Amino acid sequence: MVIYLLLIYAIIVVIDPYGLLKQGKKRDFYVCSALCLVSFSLAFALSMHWDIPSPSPTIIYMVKKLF
Amino acid sequence: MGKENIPAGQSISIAVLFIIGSSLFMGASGQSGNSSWIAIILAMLLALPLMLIYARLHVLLPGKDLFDMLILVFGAVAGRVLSCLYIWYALHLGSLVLRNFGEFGKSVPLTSTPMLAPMLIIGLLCVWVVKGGIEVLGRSSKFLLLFTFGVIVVVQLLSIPKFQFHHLLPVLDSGWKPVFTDMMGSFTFPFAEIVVFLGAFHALPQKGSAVRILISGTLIAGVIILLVTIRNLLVLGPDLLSSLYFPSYVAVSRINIGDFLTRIEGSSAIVFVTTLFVKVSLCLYAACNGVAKVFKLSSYRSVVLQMGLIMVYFADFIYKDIMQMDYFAHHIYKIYALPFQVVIPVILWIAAEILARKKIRKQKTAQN
Repeated sequence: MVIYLLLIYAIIVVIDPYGLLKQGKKRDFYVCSALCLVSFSLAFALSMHWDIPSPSPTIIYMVKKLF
Repeated sequence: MGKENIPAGQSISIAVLFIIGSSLFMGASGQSGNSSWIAIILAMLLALPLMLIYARLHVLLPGKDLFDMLILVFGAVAGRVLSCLYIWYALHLGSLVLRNFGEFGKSVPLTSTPMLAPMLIIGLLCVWVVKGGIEVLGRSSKFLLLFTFGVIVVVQLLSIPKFQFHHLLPVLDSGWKPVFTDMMGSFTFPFAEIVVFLGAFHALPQKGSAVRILISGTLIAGVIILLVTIRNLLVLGPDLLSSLYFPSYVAVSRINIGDFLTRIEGSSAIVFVTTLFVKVSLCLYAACNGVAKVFKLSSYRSVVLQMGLIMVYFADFIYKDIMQMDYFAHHIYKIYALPFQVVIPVILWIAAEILARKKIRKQKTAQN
């Protein structure tokens, strides 16, 4: 699964952030690269079946604390 | 890229499909039992003044979307901070809707398929349509709304033999308190969620058109939700209705016309997919537009794929299970969403009114 993920993200990087760099959109490239890093990290963690902390329990706790 | 523009008809279609979205399948909040239809009517009426406030923002700041408005009214720093909050809200809402679809797939038709698979397919479809632009979403919505209408009307008519009118009685059995609680639930989910549409306000046709779009969108969607809720109530009864995660699916599965026309719940699931497709697409569009405005990007299209993927992954781990999803949607969401739907837009509206009056006063003194 991880190998497939790396292959898919190699294609995504070539198409998406690198494509923006080739078009000369530097600012877009930086933001897109940062988001690409976040999405890859999440995808990698999911493929490894790691436990990713969800924001829902925090929201529930805060709402309950308020009301 | 030229300026995007969506005609009023297509904007109304987007608004209607966005509002009916997941609530058509998840059902309204269910504390009021057989009086839930009263709560929906009250929520619809409560949403109308809010729609007028949203529409007024379009008149005060024409050609601007929510993020432009926030930056213009509150300044570069505070405006960007508030924009980030709305990016979060749009991303979170899109993930919640995707998760509804994922849980539906996991618990009803695709029990052995990993939840991520159907969510990823719908998510990539949304990425595609958002990359195409809001006009593509508008044209798709116009067609999908007709299809949705058709299916809802047919299913509604076929359900008539299963109606048991005693389920509606006694009206207000448990008093007004649960009705008002459900009214708040239905107000925030789904009516006031249309605040996300403010992220695409720059694409609306001319000054003043937002009133017609938002009011008709709310009324049409409200009537559809009301009809579906009453149908579910008449077919299933209040006790069963409140114990189901997807009441519409179960209500439609009860249809049996002469032992010939049976098991047509799949067709109602198609409506669920079409409406959630529009809802997730608009959330993704608003989130990407927000990122583009906050970071001053040349186009929102640069971040659509990455934001869409983050939305799908986020949907996978946002809830532990279907029980947490149901609890969040019907108990927590109505309080969590209130600042995004009411508090910040009302402050923005007051500030925009003050700014507009100051501008008029300055113009008058300059003329004198």
